[in-house]
Amino acid sequence: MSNTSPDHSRRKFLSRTSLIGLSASITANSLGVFSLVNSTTTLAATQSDFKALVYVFLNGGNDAFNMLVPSGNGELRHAYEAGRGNVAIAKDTLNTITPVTPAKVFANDDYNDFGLHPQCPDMAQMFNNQEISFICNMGNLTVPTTRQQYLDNAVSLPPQLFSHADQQRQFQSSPVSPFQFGWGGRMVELLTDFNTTSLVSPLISVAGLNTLQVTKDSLINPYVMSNDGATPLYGFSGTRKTMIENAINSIDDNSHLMMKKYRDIFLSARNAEEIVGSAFDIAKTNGVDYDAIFDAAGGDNSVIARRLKTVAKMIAGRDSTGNNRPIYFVELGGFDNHQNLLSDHQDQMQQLNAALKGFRDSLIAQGDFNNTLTFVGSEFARTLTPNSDKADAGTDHAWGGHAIIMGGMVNGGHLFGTHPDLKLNQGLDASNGRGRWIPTTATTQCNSVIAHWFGVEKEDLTLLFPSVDNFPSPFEPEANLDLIKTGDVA
Amino acid sequence: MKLMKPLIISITTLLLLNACGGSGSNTDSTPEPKPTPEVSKSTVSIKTLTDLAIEKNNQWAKFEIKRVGGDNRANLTIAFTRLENSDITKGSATTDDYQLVYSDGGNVASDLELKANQNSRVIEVRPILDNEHEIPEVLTLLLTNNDNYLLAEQLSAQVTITDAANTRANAKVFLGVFGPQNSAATNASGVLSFIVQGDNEQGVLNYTFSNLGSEQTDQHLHLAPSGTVIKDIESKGAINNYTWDMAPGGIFVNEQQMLDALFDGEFFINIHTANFPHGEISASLNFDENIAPPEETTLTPEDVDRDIIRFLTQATFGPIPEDYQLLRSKIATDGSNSRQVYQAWIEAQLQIEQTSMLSLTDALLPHFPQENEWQIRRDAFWPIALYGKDQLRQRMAFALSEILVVGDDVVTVRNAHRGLAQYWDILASNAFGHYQQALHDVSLHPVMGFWLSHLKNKKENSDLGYFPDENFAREIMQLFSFGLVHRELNGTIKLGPDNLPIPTYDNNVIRQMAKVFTGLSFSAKNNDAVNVTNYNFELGSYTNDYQYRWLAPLKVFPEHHDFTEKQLFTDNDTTIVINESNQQTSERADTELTTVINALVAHKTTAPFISRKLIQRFVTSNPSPDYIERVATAFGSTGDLKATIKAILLDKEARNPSVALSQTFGKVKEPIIQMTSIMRLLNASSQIPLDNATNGLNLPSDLLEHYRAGVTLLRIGEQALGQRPLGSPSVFNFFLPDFSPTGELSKSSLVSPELQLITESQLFTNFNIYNKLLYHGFKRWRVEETSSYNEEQLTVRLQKESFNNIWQNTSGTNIDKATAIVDNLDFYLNAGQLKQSNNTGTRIELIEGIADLAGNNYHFDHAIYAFATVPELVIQK
Repeated sequence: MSNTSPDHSRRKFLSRTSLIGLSASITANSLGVFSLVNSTTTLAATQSDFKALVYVFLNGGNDAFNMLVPSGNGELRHAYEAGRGNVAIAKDTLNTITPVTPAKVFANDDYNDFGLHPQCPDMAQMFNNQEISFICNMGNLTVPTTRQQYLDNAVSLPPQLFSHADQQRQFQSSPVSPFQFGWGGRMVELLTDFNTTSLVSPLISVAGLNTLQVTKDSLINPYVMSNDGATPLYGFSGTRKTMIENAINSIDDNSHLMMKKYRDIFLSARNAEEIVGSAFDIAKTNGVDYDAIFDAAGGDNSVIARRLKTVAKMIAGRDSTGNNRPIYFVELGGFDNHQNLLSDHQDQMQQLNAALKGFRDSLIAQGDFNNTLTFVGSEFARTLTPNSDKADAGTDHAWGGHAIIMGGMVNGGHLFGTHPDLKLNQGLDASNGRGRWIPTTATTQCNSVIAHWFGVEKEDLTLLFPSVDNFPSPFEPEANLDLIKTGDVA
Repeated sequence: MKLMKPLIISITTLLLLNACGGSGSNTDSTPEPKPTPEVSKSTVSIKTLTDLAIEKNNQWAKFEIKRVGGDNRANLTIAFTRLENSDITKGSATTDDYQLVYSDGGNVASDLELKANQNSRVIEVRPILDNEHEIPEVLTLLLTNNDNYLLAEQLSAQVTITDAANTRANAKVFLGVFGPQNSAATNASGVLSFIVQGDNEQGVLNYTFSNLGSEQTDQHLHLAPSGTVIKDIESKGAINNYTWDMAPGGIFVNEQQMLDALFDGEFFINIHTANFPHGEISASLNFDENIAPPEETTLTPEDVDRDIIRFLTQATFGPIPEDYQLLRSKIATDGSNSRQVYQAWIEAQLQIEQTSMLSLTDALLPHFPQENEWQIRRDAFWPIALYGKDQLRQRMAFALSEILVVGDDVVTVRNAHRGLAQYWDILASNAFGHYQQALHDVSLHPVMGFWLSHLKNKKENSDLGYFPDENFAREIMQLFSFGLVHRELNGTIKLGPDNLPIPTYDNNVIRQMAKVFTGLSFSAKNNDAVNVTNYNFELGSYTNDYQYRWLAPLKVFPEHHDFTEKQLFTDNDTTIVINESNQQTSERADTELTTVINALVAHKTTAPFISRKLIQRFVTSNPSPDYIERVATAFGSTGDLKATIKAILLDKEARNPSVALSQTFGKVKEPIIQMTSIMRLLNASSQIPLDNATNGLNLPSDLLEHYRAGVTLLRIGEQALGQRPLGSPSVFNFFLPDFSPTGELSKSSLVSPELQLITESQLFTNFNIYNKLLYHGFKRWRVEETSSYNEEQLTVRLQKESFNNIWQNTSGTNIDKATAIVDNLDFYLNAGQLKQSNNTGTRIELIEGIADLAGNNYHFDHAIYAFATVPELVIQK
């Protein structure tokens, strides 16, 4: 347990607040505290109440069809090899996986022979241990869409398909315009009861500001940490500290809006610095050697490994934060492989595999694997066909791709949704032969299932995803999105 | 008289009469011979002597009638008529509004009269005072034909009658308070003022609001109670000093009706939001005659001073005393000629020879032979930014580098250090040229070719199943020219018939565009140390010492270029089409590239799209649509960057001194610019001069002449400011032009791109970087190990002598001395905003803090630290 009980921290917080003379409302907003009035309710954060969502975003468009790859000798493998050409991965180098049930394939028979990228042996093992699953050919959609409708311009499409910035925003919110909120940000607003005593935002990012954590009402702001935790402030004491704090305190309601925002970020950082410090202190004393675990997993101190290590420690030290429904944002960049796909993607897959393995082992060691759901996704996958005949060929922006979910609550070992048949110029190809798959599962359908596990009532899901009712219910068997084990749903 | 009567004579009749000259007959296309004037007849004319009559001041307008020739001994009666305003939306005076009186006595009757022996006579237009609010009204007298005289060509004259002069005392103040519209459930609120000038011709609208429940979608001026839209206010968020001419809209057809509705309190402004599409809050414009209009702004010498610093903050890498003094010495005390002086300064900057990053990099390389070349290239930015004489050119290069983005996080881009230095130089050389040329140059630059993968991009081969890469094709449209949707010249989004924005392209266009950028590869390579022509399309992207392949523009290898037809984007209903060519030569492909790039820049949306991004880099995050339109007009269809930078820096919105009190105007300083400002003001330097002084590098004089005196080696190394020139993590730059932070800013539909960088962890990282600068100085990690210089010599520090001087030379208490220090920093780093601000808290805190520390070695450092960290000091207004 923390030596800083929540009530104690709150008193410290309030005394500091009065010291620098801030009005309570301003401070509350800047800290992401919903209501100081409500914060008198007891914390009572019991283990069973706690759930964390860790959202890992692969920035740039992960070439998912080289992450989860058809093997064997069937039609799907043949279509894969025909389309990929010189960027195909030889099947004997894949890490074989054994799905619990065969994958559904668009307009074809089920298919059961798949392997993971050669650099993903641990992910394959986790799949076979039923700790992770894939959601196949998921992507941004406003309504169910067929190839003919697409080619005829006869269907409402997500705005600006194939553009990074737009598809990222929609992937982390929903494909509506104008943008209003990220689904993670909106979700914590709907679940305020779980986070009411929070002194640090339940929206924590270790990878900068992002769409996922944008709230609708703007009262809760994400707290952004560095890769390795809170950034300490050096040389901030004595006269300097008094001078700067008082100067910041003199920003008032009539000040420039950008100054006020800057002040709020400063105050958020000052307050969270201490809380995050005590979360890390807890993580230091729980007997889990995070560095050793991530090293053993081959994490090699990569950015994604450091970020997930920080998240693991924050989850371990959650008693200092008082958040029972935190959402963590993690990112790995560099997936926009227009060239050198095979070699660059190999490095990315190695890093992802090692970091997920280290994260999984840490969570199991600290006893949080069953309450922490990790989602891994990317704004789009890449064209099945390459853009050159050379060994250093790359691939281009496409549409539907595969996502990953990991955790003790996950119905592991499944290939959910529907896999494309990988046939060019027909079926799901939203182009004249480049292999851009129209998604068979909407991002919002998959996210609905995760949100429901997190605590959002089914009838409230349209508050998060306004267009989700355009699709068949993700909770019906036809959707093939039975992501969560029975009994783990809220 | 404010009621509109039907026109007596239409404008066409008037013109016809004018054309008739003295003959009164139709002269059309086949002129008839004019009758010979009879000697006995005079020719009469009328002109305006004073064109303005003002009711409230009893100021009179004056006409003069004249006769020439004929017998002036007789009385002459001249027929005339009064014309109404030819523009039916404007006002016409009626006989209730004025009296016509001869200056030598007597009222004008139904005819005009020249007495015996009078060749001319003055007619006064004496306004009749009433209590009505009237728009400016025009009175036109037209002399008409009569047998007694001939008409001169000058047969009509016009004066205007207004209610009151345009003085402060005569302005009328309308106020409003924003509240929920139709009992919308909202906590939003705000205030409004509309100040109408004395003659009622136009007024200045200001309003601000906050706490909207959802994103703002629109704002309108409506008529109560029906809610008819009178005017769409195109920008979103708070409105500052918007001049509204009260042109008729909605159900109104003339300005008088508008003015009547205004004084009757029938107008309201409302704010539409996503949650309340019909309006979340509204405020009526209510006349309050008891409220005094604000003081008129006359510039004080302090205002003029502050604006000089504002200008230098916008146009350089940071104001320094010598630049300030140069401008100050030429500007009049009241600032009346400041615009001309700024313009002359810009002209002078245009003439300064360019500082070259490649030359400096090459000159420094031999001094660090063991080091990675890219590190030397990265550090070369700092002497250029801090000491380069071509400040405006380099600021423009920096701005362009954030639009035409490449990023040296990518290993090959980084290692192509000479190519990347040259990329910067190309941006600088085009800084005052044409965007068209800049876009052409960067499209064919090998570093861009590698970065966005059109280097060695081959045409489609369906047999082998590969396709041209689409990366560059997409980004040249989405980011480098017109963006995602069609826009008006003022940057607002055009809506299609379905009320949705109109996309500028779709994926088919991208695929067609990708064909344009096929067949490009290196044109040069090294053969040992010799620069030779490259004939191998597949030449490796190697980054050896010479880097000749990275310095020459890419060339087309025709066998790999797609010469089939390309149906590209559509602008103004015209689709750009490149026809299929049988003549498959590199010349033909070059022409195609130039045609397409020129068409991209000429696209109607490119001017506002790029202009807005540039305004955001120099002046303000949220330029008004009018400001964007003025700059976009200067940008034109070729992207005239010389005209553009003048339009940006000299615009009335950029130069408005009253923005110091605005809650929204301006921007967060870019972290790099904030750093260069402090380093320039405090002459950051190492102990290694670039010239031949003691310990100097003795660089050639033709290189040194581009730098100010005192330039030293600045190997500052990696400082994690969240921003590094040519170091963006992606082609989307360090921040997005539309980034709107959650909270009040996004609720007010305001963007603040730079705030995307300011996260909690980045904020503290920045604080720590300044702490390091002040206590330890900057030095690239372990650079001393590959150099003959030691750590102390290499360390870059701020020079604080000028503060010691200020402290010593200021008499009085420590508070007085500290005040002088704080005000000096505030002046140069913050355009004196702290001293000027109504919120004096921060200034006093800093003064007291520094006075307290007197005697401490670090008291100046605390002041500088504060100026790098306190919110009021990181905002540039």
